[in-house]
Amino acid sequence: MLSMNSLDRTDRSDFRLGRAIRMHGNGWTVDRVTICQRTWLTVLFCIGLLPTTADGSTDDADRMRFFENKVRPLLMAKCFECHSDKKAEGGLRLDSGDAIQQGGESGALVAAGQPDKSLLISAIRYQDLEMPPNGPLTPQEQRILEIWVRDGAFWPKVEPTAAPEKDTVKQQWWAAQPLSPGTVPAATDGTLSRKPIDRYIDRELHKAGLYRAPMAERQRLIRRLSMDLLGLPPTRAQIEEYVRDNHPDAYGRLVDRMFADPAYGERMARLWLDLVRFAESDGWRADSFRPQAWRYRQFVADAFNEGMPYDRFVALQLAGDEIAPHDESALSAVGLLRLGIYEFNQRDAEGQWQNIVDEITDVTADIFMATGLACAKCHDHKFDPIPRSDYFRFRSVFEPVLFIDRQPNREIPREATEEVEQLLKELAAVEGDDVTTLADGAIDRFPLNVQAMYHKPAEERTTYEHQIAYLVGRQVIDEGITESKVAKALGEERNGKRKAILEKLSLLNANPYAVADLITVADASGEIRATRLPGRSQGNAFQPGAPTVFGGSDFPNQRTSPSESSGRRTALAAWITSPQNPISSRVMVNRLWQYHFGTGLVDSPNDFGLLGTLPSHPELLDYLARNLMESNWNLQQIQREIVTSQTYQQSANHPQHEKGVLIDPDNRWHWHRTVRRLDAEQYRDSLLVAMNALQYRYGGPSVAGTPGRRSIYLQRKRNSNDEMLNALDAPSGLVGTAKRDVTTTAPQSLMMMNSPRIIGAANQFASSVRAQVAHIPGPQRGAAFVNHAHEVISGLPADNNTIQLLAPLAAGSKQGEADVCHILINSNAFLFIE
Amino acid sequence: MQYSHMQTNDSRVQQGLANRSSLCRHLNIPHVQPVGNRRQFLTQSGAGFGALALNGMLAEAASIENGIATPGCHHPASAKSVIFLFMEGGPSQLDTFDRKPLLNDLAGESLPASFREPITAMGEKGAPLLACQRKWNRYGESGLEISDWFPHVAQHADELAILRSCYGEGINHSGGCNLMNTGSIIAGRPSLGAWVTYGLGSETEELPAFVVMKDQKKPGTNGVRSWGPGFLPATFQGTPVGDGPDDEAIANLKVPEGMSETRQQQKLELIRKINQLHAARLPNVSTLDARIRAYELAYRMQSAAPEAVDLSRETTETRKLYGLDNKQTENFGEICLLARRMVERGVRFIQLFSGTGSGWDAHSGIEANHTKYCGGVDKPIAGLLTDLRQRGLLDQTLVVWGGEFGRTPMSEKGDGRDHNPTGFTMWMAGGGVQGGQVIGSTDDLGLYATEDRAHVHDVHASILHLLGLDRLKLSYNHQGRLERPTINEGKMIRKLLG
Repeated sequence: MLSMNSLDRTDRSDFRLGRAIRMHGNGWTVDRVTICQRTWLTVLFCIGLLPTTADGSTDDADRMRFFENKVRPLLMAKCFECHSDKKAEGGLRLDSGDAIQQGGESGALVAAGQPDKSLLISAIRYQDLEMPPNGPLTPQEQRILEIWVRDGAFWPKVEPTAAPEKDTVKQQWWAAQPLSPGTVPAATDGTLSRKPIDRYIDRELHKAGLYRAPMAERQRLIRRLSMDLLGLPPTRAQIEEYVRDNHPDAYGRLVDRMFADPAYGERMARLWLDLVRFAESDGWRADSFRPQAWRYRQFVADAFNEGMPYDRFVALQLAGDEIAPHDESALSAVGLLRLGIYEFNQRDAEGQWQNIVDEITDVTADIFMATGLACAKCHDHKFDPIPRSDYFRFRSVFEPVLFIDRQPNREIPREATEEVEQLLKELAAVEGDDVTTLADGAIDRFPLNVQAMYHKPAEERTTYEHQIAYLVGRQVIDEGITESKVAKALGEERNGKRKAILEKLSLLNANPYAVADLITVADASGEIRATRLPGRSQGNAFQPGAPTVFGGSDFPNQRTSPSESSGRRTALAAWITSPQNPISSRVMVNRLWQYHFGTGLVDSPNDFGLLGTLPSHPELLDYLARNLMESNWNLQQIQREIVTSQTYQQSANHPQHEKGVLIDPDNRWHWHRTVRRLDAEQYRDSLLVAMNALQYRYGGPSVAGTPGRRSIYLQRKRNSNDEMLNALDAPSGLVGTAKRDVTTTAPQSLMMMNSPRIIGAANQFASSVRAQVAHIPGPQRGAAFVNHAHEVISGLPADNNTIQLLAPLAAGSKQGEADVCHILINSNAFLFIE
Repeated sequence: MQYSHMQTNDSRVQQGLANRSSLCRHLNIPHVQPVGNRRQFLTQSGAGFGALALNGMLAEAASIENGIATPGCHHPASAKSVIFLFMEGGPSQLDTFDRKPLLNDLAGESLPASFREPITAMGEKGAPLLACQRKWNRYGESGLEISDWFPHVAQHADELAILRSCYGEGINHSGGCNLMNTGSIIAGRPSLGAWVTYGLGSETEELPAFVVMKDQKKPGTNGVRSWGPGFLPATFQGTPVGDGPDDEAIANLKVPEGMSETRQQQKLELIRKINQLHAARLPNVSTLDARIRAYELAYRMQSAAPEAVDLSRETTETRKLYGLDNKQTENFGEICLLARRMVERGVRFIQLFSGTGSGWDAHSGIEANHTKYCGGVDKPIAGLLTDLRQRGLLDQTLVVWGGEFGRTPMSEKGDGRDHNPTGFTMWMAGGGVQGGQVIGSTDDLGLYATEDRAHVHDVHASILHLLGLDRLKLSYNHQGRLERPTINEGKMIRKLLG
C-alpha cells in the first residue's frame, strides 16, 4: 500500500515501494556509447579527410598529408579539449608545432625520431601519465602518433587560414552587433509615406527601381487582416460595415476590433505553438495522450489576448515556477519544458534523461535566440562563432530541472481527515502486498545503478538522482501498476473493492493514484550535478552563462541552500530580454513580420547565423526591434505598426507586374502583396464557417474527433495526424517549426475532390447557402446561389464569368448546388489570400 | 549602412553566398550549393516549371521554399529502386542467419562474466541462455549457413549479402523502428524513403515515389512517423497503399459514392476553368499554376493506381510463386507481388511491413512466434527474388531485409528472447550487391557485433550509395542546420560490392 506522502505532489519520484536496496553509485557502471560521443568523434574525423596509405615516408609532402589526414584530426578529437589555446591543462598545448616543442609542466613532450623516449608516447601508452584520461587510444590511433614522432613529429610551417577568417566573421556577424540607433528615413520622392515601415520599404524599392502597388480593395483587405489576426474569415456583415465606414480611421478601428477579439489569441497561439513543438502526446511508441497539455496552450492564447509583454512571456515560459510558484498559469507556462517527446518504457533512464535535456536546450536556443546552438553539441559550430563550451554553458541552465506531475488539489477537508485515514487503511488491506510486488517488478527492470538512485532517500539525492528517480517512478505508475495489471493481480473481487475505495477517496481529494492535472517543472533539491561533456565524470564543469558571441556573461547563481530553486532559468530569461541582448528582439519582430508577410525580413527565422539569410532590410529590422523594447515589449504594438503600414495594405496586383517580376521575382522588396495559401487551420476553420457549423467557444481542453470547434482545439497527436490538417502541411509537433512548408500536391487535390469529409462539407455548405437564397425567384436563384457561395468562400461576389460557368449547375438541382459548393471549396479563390 | 559586409541589394546577396562557400572550402565541409529558393533554382538552371519533373510527380507540383536539393545522383547508381522488407518487432538472428554453436553448448547457464551485460528492454536479470532449436544447412555455391526457418530464401543464398554485424541504440521498438526508418532513435527526422525521394524523385508521374504496404491493416509502431517526412516538406512522405477503408488502394483515390464519372469530370473541368480565371488576374503566382496542375496529376493517378494494384492481371503461376494460394503466406505474398508491380512502374522506394505492430516480438514462445512469421514471409520473399530475377529487375532493385533489432542469446520468460540492438543480422540482395557472402560477425553468443561492425547509419549510407546518393552531399537546410540523412555519420559498407 502506498502512503499519501509517497505520492507527494512535488516529487512523484518518491514513489518508493518495497525494501530499499542501498547501493553506492560506483558499484556498477554502464558502458554506454552515447550518440553524442559517436557523432562528435566521427564528425571530427570526417572533415574532408581522404584515406591515405602514407606510412613512414620521409618525403615532406607525404608527411604533410599524413599529418593533416591522420595526426591533426586525432589530436583535435582526443587532446585539444584540454590542451589547446582555449585551455592548456598542465601548461601543455598540442595545437601548434611551437607549443609541442615547448612541452608542458611535465617537461619536453616529444623527442623527434624517438617514440620510446617521448613523453607523448608513454602517456598514450598509459605508462606513466594516462592520456587521454577518459580511455586509452585504440592501438591504431597509438600507432599513428608513434609513426608521427618516429618521422620527426612534422608540423606544417604555415597554418591553414580558417581560424583568422572565422574571427573576422565573428566580428562582423550582424546578429551579434548592437541594435543600430538609426533614424527613420525621409519619405521617398513621389510617395506619401508617413509610417516608418513604409519609408524604409520605399527607400529600398526606389533603389531597386520599383514602387509599391496601390492599396488593396477593402473587401480583400478585411479578409487578409481577419485571416492574419483571427485565423477566421470576416462575416458578410463585417465586410459590409467596413466597406461602408467613411470614417478616416475605418481601418484603424477594424484593427482595434480584431485585437479585442478572443480569436486573436487563438490565432497567435497556433503560430507560437508551431515554434515550440506543441502537441498533446508522447510521440514514442505508446503516443499516450497528455490530458494536461492544453494548459500550456491556454497560457499562450491568454497571454496574447491580455497583451502580455514579451519579456514576461519569455520569463514565465522558462521560469514560471521560480517567478510565480503559486500561480497556475505560470506553472502551466513553464510547461514549455515539458512539451518534448517521452518514452514510457525506456530502461536506459540515464540515456533518456540526457536526450530530454538535450532537446530542451536545443529548442530553447532555437525559439529565443534563433541560433544554431545545437550544432555545437558535438563540435564547435562550423560556420558561426559558437564554441562547444557555449552549448554546455547553456545546457547547464537546465541541469537541475525536475519534472513535476502535480496531482489535483490535495486539500482534504478537515472534517474528512478521519474518514480518509480509514479509507487508506482499507485500501492497504485490500491491496496487500500485490501492488507493491507489481511496482517492484517494474523497478527491477532498470540497471542496478539506476535502481540505486531510485532507492536512495529523497533528502540524500543529488539533482541528477532526483531526475533519474522521477523517470523510474513514472514507469512504475505508467507501466508497472496499470489498472489492468492491478486488476489481474488482485482478482475481480478485491479489485472491485479497491475501485470503490478509490472512488470515495477521489471525492475527498485524496486518491493517491489520481492522474496529474498539471505538468510543470521545478529545480530539484540536492547538490546540482556539474555539467560536463557527455560521458565525462571529471574534467571541465560548465557554469551557466550566455554564448560568447553575445557577451558570454556568467549567470548569477542565486541558490543559497540546496532546497532553493537555482534561479538559473530566471537568469537566462532576464538575459534573453535584457536591453543589451542584440538578438532576442530581432528574432521576435522577425517572427511577427513573417506571420504577416509570409517571409521574414530574415528569411531563416530560426537561424540568424551564417547559414541563414541576411536581413533584406537590416535597418527596418532594428527599428522594429528597438520599438519592441522601448514599448515595454508590447507585441501588439509591433503588429499594429505592421498591419497599418501601407506596405501591408497594398494590392497583390501591380500595374507593372512584368517589370517587377524581372527585378524581384521573390518580392523581397515588397513591391506588391504576396499571395498566400490558407494554412491548415485557416482552411479547416473557414470550411466550418462556410458550413455554418463552427461552434465557437474560447479555451479549455482539447476535443477528440472532428467536431465544430476551431482547429486549435483538436487533439494533436504525434503519431497520428488529422488527414486534412496534414495534407495542408500542419506540423506534427515532433520538432519546432518556425516556418511551415507550403506544398501543393496531387494527394491534396485528391483529398479535396474525393474525401467523404469534404463531400460532406460541400453538402452542408450548400444547405446553408440554399437557405440564404430561398427567397429569390426561380430564374435568378442559380446566379444568386453562386454569388452568395462565392462571397462566403472569398469575401467577394463572383465575377460574371464564374457566374456564367456555375449558375446553370446551381439552377439544376440540389445535387448541382452541392457540386457548385464543392467546386468553390476547390477553387484558388478560396484557398489563397490576396 | 550598419554592417560592413552588407552593401546593396544584389551584391549583398552575392557576398553572403561567396562568404559561405569560401568557408566551406576552408573548413573542408562538403560543399553545398546554396539556393535561395526553388524558383531561384529553376531560374538559375535555366529550366521552366516542367523541369520539376525531375523530382517526380509528387514533388512536381510542390513549391519548396527552403530546400537545398541536390537533385539527381551524386555518382553512378547500381540500384534504381529499393524494396525494404521490414520485419517489425525484431527477428532473431540466432535462429535464422547467424548460427552460434556455443549458444547450445552453454544453454541453461547465465551469460558468462566475460560478456558485458547489456541494458535490455525487459530487464530480466541473470536469465539463462536459450538454445537454438533450428537445423542449419549450407546453401548454394557460396555455402551460406541458413536455418530451416528460411528454406525458400535459402535457395537464393548466392544472391544474398548477409550482414551479421548490425547494431544500433534502440532498446525498445519505438527507438529501434525510429532508428531503422529515420536514422535516429528520437522522433523528428525524415524517413529514409523520404530522403531518397527528396534526392532522386520518382520515375513515375502517376504513382507516389515512396510507397508503404503492411501485412495487416493496423497501425505499426510509431504510426505514420515511420514513413514521415520529418522536417522535409510533406511531399516526400511515404504513401500507404492498401491501408485505407474498404479496398481503396490510396486514400481518397476513389470517386465518392454516388458520383458518376461524368459528373466528376465536369467538376474537374469547371475547377480548372475558374482557377484559370482566377490565375489570369494574378500573373506570375506560380503556386496557382501548380495547383491547377496538381488536379491533372491527381486525375492521372486516379486511373493509374488501380491498375498498378490490380493483381487479377497476374498469372496463376506468379500468384503461386508468391504464396498467394496459401493462407499463411498470402498477406505478405500479396504486398511482395505489389512491390514488384510498383518497381516495374518506376516507384522509387517501397517499404513492406511484416508483423505490423511488433509481430516478430518473441519475448516468450519464440518457437511458435517465429515459426508463424518466418513461415509467413519465407516463400513470398523467395518468390519476389525469383520474379525480380526472371524479369531482369533484380540487378536494378535493391532488396533489404531486417527488423529494428535482433534478439538476445539470453532467454526471457523461459522460452523467449529479449530485444538485442547491439548485434543483429540484415541482408541485402540485388541492386549491385555481391551475393553469396557474409559480412561481419557477432561474438560467440551473437550478443554484440564485433567484426566489421555496421551501425544502422552504415546500412543507410550503403542503401543511399547504391542508389547513387552520397550521404554527405544529400542535405537539407533545416533551421540553419544542414541536415543529412545519416546525421553526418555512417559510411558505405564497401564489402557489399564484393
